Amino acid sequence: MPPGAASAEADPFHFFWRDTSIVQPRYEKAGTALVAVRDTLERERSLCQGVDEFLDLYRVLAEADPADFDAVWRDPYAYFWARLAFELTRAARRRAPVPALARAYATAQGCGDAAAALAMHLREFQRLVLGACLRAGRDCAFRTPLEVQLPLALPGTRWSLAGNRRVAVLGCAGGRLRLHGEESPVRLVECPVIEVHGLELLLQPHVHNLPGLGFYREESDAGFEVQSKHAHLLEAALRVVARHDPDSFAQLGRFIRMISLQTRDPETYTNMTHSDLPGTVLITVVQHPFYVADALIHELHHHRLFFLEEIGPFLDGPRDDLEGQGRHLSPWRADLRPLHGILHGAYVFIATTRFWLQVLAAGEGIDERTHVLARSRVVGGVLQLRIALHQLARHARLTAFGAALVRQIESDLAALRTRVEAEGLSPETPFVRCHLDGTIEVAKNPDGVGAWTLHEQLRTHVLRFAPPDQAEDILRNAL
Amino acid sequence: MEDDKLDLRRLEKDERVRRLVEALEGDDGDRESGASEASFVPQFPASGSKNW
Repeated sequence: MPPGAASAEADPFHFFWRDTSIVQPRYEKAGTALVAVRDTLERERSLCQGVDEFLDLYRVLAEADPADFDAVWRDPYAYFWARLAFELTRAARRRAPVPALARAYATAQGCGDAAAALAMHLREFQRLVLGACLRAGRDCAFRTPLEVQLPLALPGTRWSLAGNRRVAVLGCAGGRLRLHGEESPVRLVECPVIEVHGLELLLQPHVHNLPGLGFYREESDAGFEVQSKHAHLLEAALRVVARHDPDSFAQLGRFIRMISLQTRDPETYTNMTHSDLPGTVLITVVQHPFYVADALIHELHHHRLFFLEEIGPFLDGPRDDLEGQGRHLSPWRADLRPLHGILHGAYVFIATTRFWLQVLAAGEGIDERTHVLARSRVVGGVLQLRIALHQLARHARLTAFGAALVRQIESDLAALRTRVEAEGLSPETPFVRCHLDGTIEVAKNPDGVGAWTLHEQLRTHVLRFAPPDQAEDILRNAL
Repeated sequence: MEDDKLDLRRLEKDERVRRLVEALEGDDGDRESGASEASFVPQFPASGSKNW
């Protein structure tokens, strides 16, 4: 077991599902990565351009009040910056391979090699310094302007510089940003904030507007209109989580600080959590609070698993990494997936299936369409989890840490199956879709006769998307 | 329970920094040399597809 995971053996349920002591080490790790980059660059000032200015900016952040540093360093952008800085420094220093996201980032910035990308990235440290200075009410002036595409979220704050143009930021003064070509400092706008049962969350889509990430969309809210318009839906969803999954609700604020509501094409909509932006999620607006509650619990647990995985890897083979090629059927997606993705799916679907069972058990106050949706999600969840765990058992080479996690998930699935049987739910339960407008549709059997059962729907999924050897194995042993 | 405040001055003295520097500055070109701290979680966007 890796250091930090000792209690995974003593009390695996608590460790994998409830323990929040896993939060702090990840932010500390990003902080130590920042210090290591500083130490290395102090010794190798010619590694790339802009090192001296970065070292000056580092001192500004180091001299910030710890409360301001803490707020800035828990911002999703800080981990993103620290990890990329570490990987680009290593790549530039050791001529090591540049990881995929760093490559995408460098390409998006027009940088041809790791040293050029590192030079560009060191300037981006100005974002963090701006956040700390704005929080402290201090002015700052940069030697080299920070060139960014708006909107720009200011780390550690609720503020953004709105718009959709490219600007050169010279620093900040009087709580505003000084821009090249603008006589007066520019006013910042505050993102919407919601509060439910003492949990406060920022509705901040601009944090995703980063080079190389590729999932910020302009129509998703330069001026927070989408966030404001749908804030009530999110509040309703949070109340659903608080009522039906209080354990998840109690953790939400530790793992998620910002939410970006998105309105998407009905055929492609997704929710999303990025490994390198801890604390923020993209949630698609679906006009059904229970469906959004499911999405929140789902994304919360992706984050939880990223925090767990920062302690040590789950899979023994790099071929199975999410950065690698997909080779295995996932019960949740049409594309073949690395085993790592299937493991993530198994973990988060245990949490969401548990939630829907709680909804079913609640009885009063749950309308019929929500009941229909809940039954489908519970039965579908259990069937999908059986396939996922079968795929992992058959193909995955796990570390001791990963094996402990999978044992816990297997135990959780066994408990869920017992409860599903007690509810009298069968695999012949209809497959139900929830549309963006919140309407519920019982899927028709493609043969045109009656409802499409979850068993049949998953059988069709396996036959359509699995490689032949996996399809035969799954249908014989897991469905 | 809330976490302690993160403090950059305290992190500068953290033992993990030395191992991370080793990982940055090692000369053997081996991605895994240095320390386990030098490896981060696999990078990816975890996305949920429609209706699942």
